[in-house]
Amino acid sequence: MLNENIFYEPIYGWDFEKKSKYYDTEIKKLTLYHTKNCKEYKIIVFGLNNQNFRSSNLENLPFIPVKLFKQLELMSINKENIFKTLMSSGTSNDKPSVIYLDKFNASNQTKVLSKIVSSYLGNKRLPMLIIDSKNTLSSRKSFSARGAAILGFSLFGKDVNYALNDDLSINYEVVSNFYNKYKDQKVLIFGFTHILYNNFIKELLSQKRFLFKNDSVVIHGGGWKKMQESSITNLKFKKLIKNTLGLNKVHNYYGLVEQTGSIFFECEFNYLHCSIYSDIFVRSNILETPRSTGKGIIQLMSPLATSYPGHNILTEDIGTIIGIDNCKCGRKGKYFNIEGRLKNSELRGCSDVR
Amino acid sequence: MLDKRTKINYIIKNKHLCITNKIFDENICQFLSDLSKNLLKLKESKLYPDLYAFAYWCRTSNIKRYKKLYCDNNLRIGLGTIFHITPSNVPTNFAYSFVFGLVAGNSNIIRISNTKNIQAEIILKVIKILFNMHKYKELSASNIFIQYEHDEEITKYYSSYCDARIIWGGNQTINEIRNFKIHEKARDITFPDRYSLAIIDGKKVLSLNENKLNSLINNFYNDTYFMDQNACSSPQLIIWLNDNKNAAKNLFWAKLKKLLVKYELDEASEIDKHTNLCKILATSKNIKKVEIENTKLFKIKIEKIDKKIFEMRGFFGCFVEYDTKNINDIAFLSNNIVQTLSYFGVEKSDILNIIDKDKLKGFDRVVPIGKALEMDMVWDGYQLPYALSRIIN
Repeated sequence: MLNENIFYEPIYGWDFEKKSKYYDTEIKKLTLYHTKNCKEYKIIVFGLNNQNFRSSNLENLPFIPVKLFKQLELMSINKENIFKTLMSSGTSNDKPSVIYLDKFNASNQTKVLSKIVSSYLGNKRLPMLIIDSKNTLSSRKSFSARGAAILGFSLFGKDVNYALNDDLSINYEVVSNFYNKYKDQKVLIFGFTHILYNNFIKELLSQKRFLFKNDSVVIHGGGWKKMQESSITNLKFKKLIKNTLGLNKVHNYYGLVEQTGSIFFECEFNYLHCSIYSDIFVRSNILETPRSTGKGIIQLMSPLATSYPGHNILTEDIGTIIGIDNCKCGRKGKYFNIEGRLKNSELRGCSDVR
Repeated sequence: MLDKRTKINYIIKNKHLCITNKIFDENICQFLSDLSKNLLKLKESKLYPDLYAFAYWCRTSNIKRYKKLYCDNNLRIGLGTIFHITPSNVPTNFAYSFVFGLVAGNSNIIRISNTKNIQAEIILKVIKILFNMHKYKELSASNIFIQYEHDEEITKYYSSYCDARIIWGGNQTINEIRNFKIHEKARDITFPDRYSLAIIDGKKVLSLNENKLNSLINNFYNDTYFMDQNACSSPQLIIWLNDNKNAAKNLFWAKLKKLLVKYELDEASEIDKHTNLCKILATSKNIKKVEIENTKLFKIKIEKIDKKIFEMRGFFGCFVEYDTKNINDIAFLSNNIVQTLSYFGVEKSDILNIIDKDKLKGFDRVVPIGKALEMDMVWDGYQLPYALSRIIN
């Protein structure tokens, strides 16, 4: 179970060989660990005839499709040790994914998020504007993915302000005050991608009334599905943000509530990077062996998932792995692009079971 | 009256009059005959087997056969206006529902789902053309086809004035629609979620020649994959009789796999299917083994049939298999949720005997494999021409 030593390693410093070796051992160990501690997980992986994980390759280890966290309570801890539950922001007729964390798992997620983000922002806390309403954080014990992200990222800011009212319209008073106070300093602006776009940038596009100091940083993530609907690309959005807010640095990140903390941050060359705390594979279908090159359905691994069997998950996102260890930014590990969500075709038949 | 601001898309709208007729009225039979002929003439009816099946079903001779079957010495007249709420994912279902209402002598308001499908568009186009003919003036004045987004006001309005309401589309829809009152005298005909199974005699499968085997496999494919195994009458469970050495199963599935080349399954559906398999594994007992042949064919072998079986629901080709030597084992499934039992190599009379003798609940239909999706004037135990009409004594 996750050795503390990994927190002293350079987070983008492992090359392919070193990382493969570590993941091979750790993900196997975790697979075994979860079969011993999560009854449902064990029945599933044994039922799928996937029992020889000690001898099989990392790529062939059993994965859990993320939608299963919507349908089953999957955890490898006793219920009394649940410290926090995270929930995805599912649509109305969709149950949310529910992730159960104990103290150990939750604190490791926080540590890793902090390491990844501070490697981009530095250790100094920046005045921070969150493009959301404070209301999103209503409960302390159970969080939506949005709430968890806001809470996680607000650790990197000081004098944290919420830019939106409860109905997600712009609170101009707050934004103006924040702007007047900090327009000559480097600030941090954070938001969920589609909220940042629809409720903030789109509104301010023509106004250009808040032009921040140009070394300020915007960080955004999540909400891919809705952005696909507005058919705006990542690069176009980046340009839009830069033009509207007058700053230079915009980082998108990719992350799932099923693997909170070990997010994939976008580098200066617009590629998403794996840290040593997570790895990515792509596959053509559920049965073929996943690959480390090219385009496919994204499968993610992370040694952080100890209190629930989310160490090896199959997402519903499509992406392309661009390369390994050789990005121009100098970071080691795999780097990739996200192309969007898999599209569900309409199910035939009269019963409505899916 | 409905508020003028409500957003109803009238696909076929006329002045809606409530006109009732005797069941299988001559003009209505003529209309169905014309509908059938005009649909069969189109080249599209060759492209869509379900469209063809509907057109062929309402052909002159078949309607005549039904007329003979249902018209007796009694005076039977339609109830009045039927409000049909039809499902989104079975393209021709609305048309069958319409015909049930028509032959029973009613005026109809048919709500069609907003999901676009070509089969429905073609049928509606032909109906529209026929409605413009002078001889169908009365029909045209008493039947409307509508579409609307989820809107309580509209559903409430039509519910309040219909004489019967037909609700397709499963338990959730039924419970939602039932919140809207109908007249004290009006009746609801509901088609909830059901569970269906097939029974196959292994010995008989092994005795088939190549041609007959292929036709069995084709028939099974049409009962299942044609509707993504998600129609209420598509089998979930396969009971294998007399095949303890698996020879028949192996042959059957190997043949089916070859046919599955033509079945298309996108990645998102594959993942949903896999997720569902994981869920079934984690929540069911009695599973002996799971066999993943390829992405299109999953099999779950069970040792025992218990009540949990009704929760082991697959789609896109995920079958539960059970082996037995004893046909009486179908009694383990005695439950109101059971709808269609499709069979091969077994006598229908033997099955009916068990249903009768053991007083089984459910089992509304017993049909040969290949006919599971075939619509009939009898559905879910209702004789629709009678259920939608009244008898005058």
